[in-house]
Amino acid sequence: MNAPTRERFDCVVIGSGINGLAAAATLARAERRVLVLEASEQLGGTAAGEEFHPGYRTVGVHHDAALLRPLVTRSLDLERHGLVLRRSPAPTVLAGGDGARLVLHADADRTREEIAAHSRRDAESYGAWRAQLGRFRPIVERLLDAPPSDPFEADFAELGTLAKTGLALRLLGGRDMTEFLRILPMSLADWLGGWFETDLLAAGIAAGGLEGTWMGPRSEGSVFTWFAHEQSRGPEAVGGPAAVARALLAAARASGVECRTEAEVRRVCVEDGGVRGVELAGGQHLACGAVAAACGPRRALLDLLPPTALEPRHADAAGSIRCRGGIAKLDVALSGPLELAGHGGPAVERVCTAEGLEALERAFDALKYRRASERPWLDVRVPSHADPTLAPDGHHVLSILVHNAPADLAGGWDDERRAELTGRALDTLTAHAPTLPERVVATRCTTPDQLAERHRLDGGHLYQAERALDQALFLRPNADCGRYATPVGGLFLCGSGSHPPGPASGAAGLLAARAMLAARQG
Amino acid sequence: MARPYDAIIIGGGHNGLICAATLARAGRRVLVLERRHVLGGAAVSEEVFEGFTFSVCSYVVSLLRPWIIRDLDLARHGLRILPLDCSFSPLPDGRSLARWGDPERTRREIAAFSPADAEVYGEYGRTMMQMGRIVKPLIDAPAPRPTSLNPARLVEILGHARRLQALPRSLRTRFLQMMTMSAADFLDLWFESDVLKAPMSVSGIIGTYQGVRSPGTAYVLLHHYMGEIDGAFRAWGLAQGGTGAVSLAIAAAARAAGCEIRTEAPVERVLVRGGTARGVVLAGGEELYARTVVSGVDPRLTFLGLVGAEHLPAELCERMRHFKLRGSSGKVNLALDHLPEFTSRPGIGPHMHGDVAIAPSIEYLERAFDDAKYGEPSRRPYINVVIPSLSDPSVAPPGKHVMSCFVQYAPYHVNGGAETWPERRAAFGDTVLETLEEYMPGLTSAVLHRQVLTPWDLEQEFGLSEGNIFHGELSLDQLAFLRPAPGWAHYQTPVAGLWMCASGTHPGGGLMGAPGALAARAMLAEGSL
Amino acid sequence: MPVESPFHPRTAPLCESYRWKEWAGRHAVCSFGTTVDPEYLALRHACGLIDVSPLFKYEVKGPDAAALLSWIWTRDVTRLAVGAVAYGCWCDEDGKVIDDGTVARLGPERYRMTAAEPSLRWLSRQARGFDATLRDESESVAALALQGPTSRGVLRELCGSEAADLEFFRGTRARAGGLELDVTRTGYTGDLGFELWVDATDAVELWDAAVAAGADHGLAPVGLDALDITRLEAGFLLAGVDYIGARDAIIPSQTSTPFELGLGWAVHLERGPFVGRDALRREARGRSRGRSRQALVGLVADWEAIEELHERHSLPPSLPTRAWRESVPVYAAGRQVGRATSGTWSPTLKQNLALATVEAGRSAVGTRLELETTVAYERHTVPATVVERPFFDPPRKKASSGAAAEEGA
Repeated sequence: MNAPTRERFDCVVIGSGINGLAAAATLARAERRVLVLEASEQLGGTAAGEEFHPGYRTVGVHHDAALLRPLVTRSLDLERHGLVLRRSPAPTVLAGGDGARLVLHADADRTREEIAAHSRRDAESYGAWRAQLGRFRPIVERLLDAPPSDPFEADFAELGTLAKTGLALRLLGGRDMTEFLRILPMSLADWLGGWFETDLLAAGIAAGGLEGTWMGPRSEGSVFTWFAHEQSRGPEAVGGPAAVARALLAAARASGVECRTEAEVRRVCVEDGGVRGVELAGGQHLACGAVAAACGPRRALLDLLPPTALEPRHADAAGSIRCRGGIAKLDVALSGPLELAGHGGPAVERVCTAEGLEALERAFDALKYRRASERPWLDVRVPSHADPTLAPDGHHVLSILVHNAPADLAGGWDDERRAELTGRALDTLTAHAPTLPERVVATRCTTPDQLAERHRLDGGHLYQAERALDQALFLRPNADCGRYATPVGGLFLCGSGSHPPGPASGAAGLLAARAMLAARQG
Repeated sequence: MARPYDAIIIGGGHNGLICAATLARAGRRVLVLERRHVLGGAAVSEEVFEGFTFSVCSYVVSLLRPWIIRDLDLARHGLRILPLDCSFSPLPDGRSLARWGDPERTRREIAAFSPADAEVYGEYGRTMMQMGRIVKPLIDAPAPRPTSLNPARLVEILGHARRLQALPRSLRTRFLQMMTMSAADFLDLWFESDVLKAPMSVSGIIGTYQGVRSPGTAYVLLHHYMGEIDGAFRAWGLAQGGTGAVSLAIAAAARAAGCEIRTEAPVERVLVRGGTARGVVLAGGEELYARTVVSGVDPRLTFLGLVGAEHLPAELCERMRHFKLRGSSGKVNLALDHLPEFTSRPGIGPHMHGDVAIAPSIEYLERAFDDAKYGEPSRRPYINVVIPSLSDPSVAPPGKHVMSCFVQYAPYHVNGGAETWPERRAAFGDTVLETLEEYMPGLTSAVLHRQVLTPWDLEQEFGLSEGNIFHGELSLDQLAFLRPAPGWAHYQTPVAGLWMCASGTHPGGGLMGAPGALAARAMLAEGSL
Repeated sequence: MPVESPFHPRTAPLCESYRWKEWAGRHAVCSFGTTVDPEYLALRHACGLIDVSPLFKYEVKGPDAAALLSWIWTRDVTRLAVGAVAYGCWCDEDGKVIDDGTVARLGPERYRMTAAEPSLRWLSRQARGFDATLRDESESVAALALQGPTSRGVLRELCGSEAADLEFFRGTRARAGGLELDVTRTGYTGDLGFELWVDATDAVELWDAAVAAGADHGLAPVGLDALDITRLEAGFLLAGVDYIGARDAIIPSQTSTPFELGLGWAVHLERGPFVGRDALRREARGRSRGRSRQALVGLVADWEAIEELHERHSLPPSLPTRAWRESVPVYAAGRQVGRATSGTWSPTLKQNLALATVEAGRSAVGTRLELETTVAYERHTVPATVVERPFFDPPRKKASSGAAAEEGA
């Protein structure tokens, strides 16, 4: 055993996912000496691409790189570090029951044409709906790209920012303002049901907004979480989250960030209410004045701190953070593209198999009883079209998020149950893509319990803390830590469990780093 | 032609009667028109079977505002509230939990399931009392107006914000959590025992079309504690003579102030001429005139039924079509030959004098909700039972009893359509009895008569659209300045001279009486009355 | 309905007065006889036997037991030696007292903590991250108090010399006949005395053994009324009466810090973190926002003034035969500066005593205040003086058994 050595850094970042790397890069650009510690053998956290089968690579556990905030791309100059952005995102094919198809394009007019085939009334409504969203979007983006303010404890400067947002809201006009406030606490089912009669359309719109929540479309507050997710989409990165992570890593290194793998942090050392350093699993001590924890709030506050570091009410509040994972990942290696019956035209890159709002709701119901959905709906990506390096020539990979599979499955997960889940998911997709089975080369199913173990994600939750009305903005992940600082001096939260939520956004990391710099920490 | 009244109130429910009494006491000439033969709307007592008086719909008095009881001198006009001192939860495995007015006794009961929960139960109650203090001024006054540019309104909102700001952060956070979380998750912040959480959480979903795990149900838990903040006023209890006695006391107060009340006088429509309400037309053609018409029925019935889309802006009609009042509850009223016992706690004891909740676990409640979500009544429903005859001998012959069962969920929009409810009625009643029989063997054979009210019946008989007992769901998007519709949340309507005064306005349903009183005040303040 | 204590089979038949009250959900005797005097006299001149089982008791065991207790308590429990007992309090994060009690170190890694309020949940939540286990012994352990000048003699007969010769605030394992029990030299009367901790199933047997051992020493069963008088003479606080625990308080002004309760000596600030430390440090260092607002003091009311007041109404001066705990205002220069929360006539000191919480600026020993008194339906005040606590502090309370300490006061 080596004698424990003491090295000194300004700031240690725990976790090398997109948010962790964004925090590290931001701090380094401000001349701080930064060390990123990653417990596993590869950098990137849940955004790390892996070869899940010889010759076939993933783009990360999660696959939506349109959630990367432009703020991060700009501030860290990611395009200069190799990030390539698509100017127009791939359309999403909604695959409904009885072979129904509807394609959602980024362009509202093209989508309206698609909808018209199902309902003329809905096509018209869609135009009005998109227009209204367009008016709301600037308000949402203000909130996404700013550190959250607690309106009850805001200082003068923050009150100014809040007032500007309030003014922007008021300038929408009394009608729009009321509508905005009215719909946010509603359920997606009620809101979208009020606009559209086509169930497939409503479900296709709603589905994406449910990610990271413990909600179905009938849950009140699901409109709020939908806005926070769907209206945060920007241009999509080619190569998915893995490419984003690579660019961030390059940016971080270019600014002098040091990264170490197989360096699990066992404890954050606290003295006199402030961070002094970290202790690794191997016994090594690293001194630092600040720690940015991208590893998840519960882990940071409850597992890595000594029990006397947090007052009882803060420990209670940390223990109350909800992070019940409900999504499983399925990676599929294919010998050819994914072809949907009844869908000609350009290559299929995104598919959503939610047939209707009831299907979404029933899938969610299973979580309440600790079961996996009997009829899961799938969020399918085929990233190998945009990035052919992910698979051998002519071959493809599918990245599928399976909704829903609880982390705390009654009786526990084992290989048999994973195989069953895989079977259900593939059956669902095969119903829409009959050529699928013969093209499957390999599959790999990762259930939330494995996410918990492999990626040290509390509850196996990709967002580290559920997205919900009471775990949002200055209350994300809770009131004590909703603005990145924690009750322990020098310890900050900078992962997707902070604002804004999302393992792919990078903004939590960047904003947390800025908060640290402003507090003269790190 | 008879001299027009100052105000005609459509509907003799408790809010309409409170509005009438308040106006009458201010010297106005008021007429109340009730469709049924008996007053009270859903707060009504009826001798449905000879010798047995049922609180047909609403069966406990919990939130009737003390200031209304004082202002209208209701105690003098016959209002007597008997305390409900116990909440009893029998369990299928033979255990049971009872929560009493006596905190030490409650602590011991809870401790049998979880000593930790027993310790923190009092603290939870105190916290909820604090929450009630925060909310109280919002309930007892008209809704704030955040979109108004009127400085006075903004000052009002700032005042509310300041009150929140003055709280210690921990309490303020709790308040924000309470307003956004699900009842189950909110209770998880304190308690670990499912047996305790289930009956507690259920008060969050009464009258809603949500489950205990649905976000937005925690703040309704406050209802149960509002009585605490009214101090020892003890507004939570059974009205002697049934809930209708509340309405009758209010009617007595109204009559004493000169108000005229007519029953069996169904209003067919509001008379609108030149965009102004002039009076009403009864079924049968009789026209009655008034300077002001006040609707005591729910907003959709008011606007789309009694007024008509042609007199209203298109947007409001659209809003009313989408107004959520999905009824989710039913009622089974039983006349019993004798009272069977609970196997989990034998004996006709004090545990039966309060309310009994069939809510053995959160999963049970959630499954009950899931059934309704997909258009079926709960196979195993949540049932809240009260046996008023144990505390109030006046409602049943000696030795016999009345059992009042509130049931969730019974979705109005049942598969096959709401009109199929009459065919389902018997089965619905049977399900309730079968469920109760599991806890109280011998109940079915003790039943002399039964009355089953489905949401369809609540609509047909009591004029509650879609059988919703609150005249509109109490979800955040239909509360305060949004209730019943944005821009029309202060008792006025687009039709000049037409006002609204019932649960479909702020602060909502729950037998508070506040809508009726606040509407009357608004009318008097506005000046044209 | 309260439940019975493990000693109920013995205390119930003896309670001729039928005067009971509820203590922590148990039936507890107020006084066995119709007057309190004989029981009080037993406590001060012979030996009283009191059922104190309703106390909440928790066993804390394990390598981190001391560390856990030191995190919870304001005092540093790691300094407690094996066989030693300490009195103190624990606070919430804001430095407000939740409850007070004792902690006894029964073994190298084994402690027993007592509390007035149920505390399992608080202890369990704090125990996270500590290598220690908790056991709620409130039901399984019965407790008797043996208090008074002849209590040592009783204990010697009951358990032998090791127990009888215990020093003040120390404990030991002992045997009484065939029974195993813990004995601590602790108590709530402010006098020489002991507490016996035994398995609840052995309670009745222990009672019988104690009564037998005490037969020649004037042992008498004593109820809570007499205990109340003696604890007031000793200047001891009663939770819920003299202060409101932080978890029961509804508004902040109802809470108290240890300094405000005169328990500053039980607060060890210069050490690692414990719950409430930072708030308490701020208070102790007197920084403006944290400075103590109030202080708990002992008051002695002027006897002459009381006599004169009654004389004015042609009444003989009446002395309360029991302690009182209805809060009455305390004034200075015509303005209310606090409240008296409990008090009693002390037969031993021949004085009217009270415990009061007053503004910090009015709490110095010697300060003259006015205590409200109602005589003949009229509200008056009588002068009262702030005095040191305890009011009654006999040398025998702390004296070793070697010294000739078994005489009366």
